[in-house]
Amino acid sequence: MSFINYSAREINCKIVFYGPGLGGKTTNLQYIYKKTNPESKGKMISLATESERTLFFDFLPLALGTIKGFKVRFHLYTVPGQVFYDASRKLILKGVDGVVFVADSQAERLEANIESVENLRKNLQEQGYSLDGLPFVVQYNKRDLPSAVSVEELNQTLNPKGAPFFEAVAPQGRGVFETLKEIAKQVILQIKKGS
Amino acid sequence: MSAICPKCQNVLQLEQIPLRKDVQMTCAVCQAALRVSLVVGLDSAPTAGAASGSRPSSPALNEKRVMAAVEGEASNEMIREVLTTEGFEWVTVGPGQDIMTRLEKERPAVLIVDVGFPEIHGFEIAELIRKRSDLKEIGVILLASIYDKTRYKREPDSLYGADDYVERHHIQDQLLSKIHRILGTRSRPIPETAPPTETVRTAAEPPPQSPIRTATATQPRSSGPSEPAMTLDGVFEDLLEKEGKTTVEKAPAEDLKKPPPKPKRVEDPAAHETAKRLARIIISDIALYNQRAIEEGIRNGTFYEVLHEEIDEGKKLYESRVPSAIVVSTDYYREAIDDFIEKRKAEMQRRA
Repeated sequence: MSFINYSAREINCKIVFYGPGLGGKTTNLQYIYKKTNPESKGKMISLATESERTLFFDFLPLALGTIKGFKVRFHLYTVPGQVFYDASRKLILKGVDGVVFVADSQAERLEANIESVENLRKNLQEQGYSLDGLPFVVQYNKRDLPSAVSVEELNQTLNPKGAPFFEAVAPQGRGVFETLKEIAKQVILQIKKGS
Repeated sequence: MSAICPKCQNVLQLEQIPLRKDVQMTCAVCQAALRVSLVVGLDSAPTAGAASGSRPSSPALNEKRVMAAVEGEASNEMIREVLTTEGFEWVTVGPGQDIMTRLEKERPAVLIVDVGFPEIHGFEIAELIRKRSDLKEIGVILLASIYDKTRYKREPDSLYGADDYVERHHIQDQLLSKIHRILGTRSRPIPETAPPTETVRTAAEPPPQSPIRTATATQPRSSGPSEPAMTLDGVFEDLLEKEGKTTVEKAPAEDLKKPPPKPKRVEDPAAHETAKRLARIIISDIALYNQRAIEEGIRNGTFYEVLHEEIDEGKKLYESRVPSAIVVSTDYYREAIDDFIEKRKAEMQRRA
């Protein structure tokens, strides 16, 4: 749930980029960080190992504006995608307001995508959330690689409920801001509904 | 009027100009049975299709022309340099232009196309080209990005009708050989005379229908415009009141930095198939992050030694999530690793 600080008149929302290992979650955040107005962003924290995998998370705060006099800040997190780091993922999902699932479009990562989306659903349930009730966007990344599976097939497998989805090539920024805008829009609407 | 035999390149003199009907004849040099038909108004040289030729000839392609539908100045410049030093004529088609229309007009021997071309994916173009009788002889090379030159690389399962692919960082050292290989393996007739206003084509089989110039409809991609917005300003005007103050946040709470606890044992009733899948995913993850060690281990037969830490870590995870009855009865984890080694070994041998 979004954290509202009444004395500071701030609303803090947590968006988690979830998905299989090396699927492009960190690259999404890096691109957003690189291209966002310096006045709107805080310091990006990235905790990775030497081999560049995200060990715990990346974190990027973004300020978007105000709702009813409250500043709205988005905290973007990534999770370590490897199947090994389930405990970290659970921890990072605590208090989540919206999820972006970054899928790796390559055919050979289809099983890892399926495992990851099932893992997301399960980890949310354990914390009393339902994926179907949360703001949720799917991003099909790595569309420029030759073994990319068709979007139709990916949607059937990973997104049967028909959440908004975007194709992306994260290092080039294609689809990155479209994804972010969609999830931010859904989160804000949710907050407005709640208020 | 003359035509060229595609089999032996002999110039055939035609006494009669075929108008609407095809004419059967035999090449005086190689004895190939040929069918000659007239194609009016095409900007290409007379060519012929041999009886033994597998595909009937379309209006000839320009063997020295290569078209690039590639994003990014740096990549285009690199391609231009590589092609022009080898004497190829280089033409480009940029985002917003209809690639199929340009192919009809330019008739290049080879098209190099970005897999992630903005309006239409490279492999979709390859599929469209293969469906067109007048364009299907064009060699197609997909230009792919790669995220990590050393660790993150796999062979694609399908090229969707393209002849080959080249990764962006291999343009300089691989592109030319791939083009030559395509040109060398194609039994495409080579035009030898100046383009006439009338073209005679011969073919052993009934000729294809005249090229049908149809507009190519391309679906807009769901990701919207190719250039992403650079800021979030203006996106939420209806939802937010604007405020442009700088905000700097602190790092998240310390508890997030703690090492992950060991995974708990999960009793999963989905049994054997789930166990197999988990084993495959674990080895897939190990492979993804240890590409060099994987190849070294396979090459030297030391896979289990080189990767023993990762394999042990994966085994612990596997055993923690698979019902113990299955763990004891069948070692799907080991099977998945052995299967992976076999497949990767075969892939490495193919590449070598």
